Amino acid sequence: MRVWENIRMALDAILAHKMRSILTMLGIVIGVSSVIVIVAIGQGGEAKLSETFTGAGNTVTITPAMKVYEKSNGELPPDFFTERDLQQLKWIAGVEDVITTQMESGDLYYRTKDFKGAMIYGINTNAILKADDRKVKTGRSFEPADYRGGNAVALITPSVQKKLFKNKSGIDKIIRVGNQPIQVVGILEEAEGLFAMIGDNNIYLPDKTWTRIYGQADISDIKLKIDKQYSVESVGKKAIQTLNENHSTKGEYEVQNLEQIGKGIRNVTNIMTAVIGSIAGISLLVGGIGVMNIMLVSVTERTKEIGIRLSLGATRSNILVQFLTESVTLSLIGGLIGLALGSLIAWLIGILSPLPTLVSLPVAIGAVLFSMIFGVTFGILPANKASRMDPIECLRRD
Amino acid sequence: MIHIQGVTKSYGQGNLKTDVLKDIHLTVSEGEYVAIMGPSGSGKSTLMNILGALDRPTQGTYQFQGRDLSQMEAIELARVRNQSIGFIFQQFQLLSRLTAQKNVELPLIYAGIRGLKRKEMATTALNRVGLADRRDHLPSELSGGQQQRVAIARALVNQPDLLLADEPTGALDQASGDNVLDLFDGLHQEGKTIVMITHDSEVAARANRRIDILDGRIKETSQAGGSV
Repeated sequence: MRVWENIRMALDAILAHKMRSILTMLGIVIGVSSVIVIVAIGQGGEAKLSETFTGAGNTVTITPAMKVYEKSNGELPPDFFTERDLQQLKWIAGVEDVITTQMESGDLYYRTKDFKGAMIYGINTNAILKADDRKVKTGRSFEPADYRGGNAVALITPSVQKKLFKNKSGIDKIIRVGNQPIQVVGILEEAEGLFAMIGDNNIYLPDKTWTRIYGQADISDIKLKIDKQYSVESVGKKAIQTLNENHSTKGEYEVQNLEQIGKGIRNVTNIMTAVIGSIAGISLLVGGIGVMNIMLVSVTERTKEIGIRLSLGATRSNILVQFLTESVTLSLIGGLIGLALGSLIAWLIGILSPLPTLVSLPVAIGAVLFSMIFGVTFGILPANKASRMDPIECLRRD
Repeated sequence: MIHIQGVTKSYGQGNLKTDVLKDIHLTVSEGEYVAIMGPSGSGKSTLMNILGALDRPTQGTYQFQGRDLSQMEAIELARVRNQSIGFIFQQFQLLSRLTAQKNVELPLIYAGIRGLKRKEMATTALNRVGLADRRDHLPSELSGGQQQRVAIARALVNQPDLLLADEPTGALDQASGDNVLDLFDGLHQEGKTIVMITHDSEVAARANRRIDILDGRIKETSQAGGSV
């Protein structure tokens, strides 16, 4: 007998008792949809979390380990990052771009006001700003001509702007950086993520302008822009390995925050898995017992039908498969409704609350498969009971 | 076609053991129309169940079309019921959720016949009992006589060699009962072997051989044939 034949018989039987079927499915629907919602919130949060650590530009920063500074009295050893390093990093699979910045701490002046201890960056491309999630709020960003000509222009962060200009925008004003007059052309947006945590007193200059003020500097850190299809963690590890091999050193190169990224995400994932596991377990168990209960009732009720089918030539395995298909169909429909309902709720949560949600395909498939497995597990007992009935006894029933 | 030798059927064990059938010998040839008569408790239903491969004898052999059913596996018995035997019950035993057409299709599902072929065969069988126009009706929308004719169509649909009828007119009024018996006459003339259980001697008189069963034993075999 074909599978389709059984499914049609199952649907007939399910539709014959609509209210009962709906109530039975409800357990599975609630179980599956709550799992979907929780996983959606968990995965949405995880995606958000890793974005917070790596930035929307999907970059990681490679820095010297603390012990490098300790060994050389706070100074970075010469040739810590070489041109050869930059070349080799570019060849690692998953690295889209290798970005270097120069940085010096210094003071800024505007008329009588000053800002002490600003972080003064020299950058060679706007891609760096993007990698750090920095957008220009007012004014303009750097143009290619600014980089080519080493124009005396600057972008500043809101905290620098407030200190120097108070309520005024500061756009087009001339400030002094290391005694050079520099025109402010743009104010950046407030920082989010990592920069908000470590302070945000930055001013950006085109790299040629920066060199004119501070002279050629050693590279103090390297940023890697990473292809979205690769794991930030594994590409970062590969990069460190390459650098340590190049310099025959051990543990002197670090990916900033790599540990936090890994640990943070894993922690969240583990907690979520535990919560999901217990909720899924309990609610689906209850739903499954409901299915088993109603199937047992159904078998008892349909004793005569079983007798008739047996007398017409159904084998015991025909009967077994018929009732098993019925319980699987029942839980599968429940699972599908649960998936739809859960996805809808997750979507609404994503829209109406600050919690980000994400329903992923593997979770959807998993939920459906899981409800089918439940149908089989809790259908075996009733189906087995049905298939062992004595046809003569069955036919005698009214 | 049917050859029963020394069949005994017992229920219970030890002191509680009761023999429902005692040393039954019975032969039915192909094309015969046999009525088995007896009061309730005589064992005629048990004999019917054994004849229909729904039950096995405790002792003795049952040869059906040359094959010993008492030695067969359950799955083979199911096949015999499906392919070679058509059952007709006193209470019709139709599935109330299914239309006449779907009820008649049931044996074909277990025979593995699909799609259009199945529909055609069921329609042909319904035609044979004169109910083609009622094929989409549920059993509850049909009269008793019509329901029994649907059950007969279901028994016929797989072209079985033997029709087994258990009090086929027991739940019907006189006219509907006659109608059913007329159908049996026609089927008999077409060459079907029919074994019918009844306690009504008028009904039994329609058959061409009558077997009386009392207290688990075949009492006498009298030729009643031809008195149609």
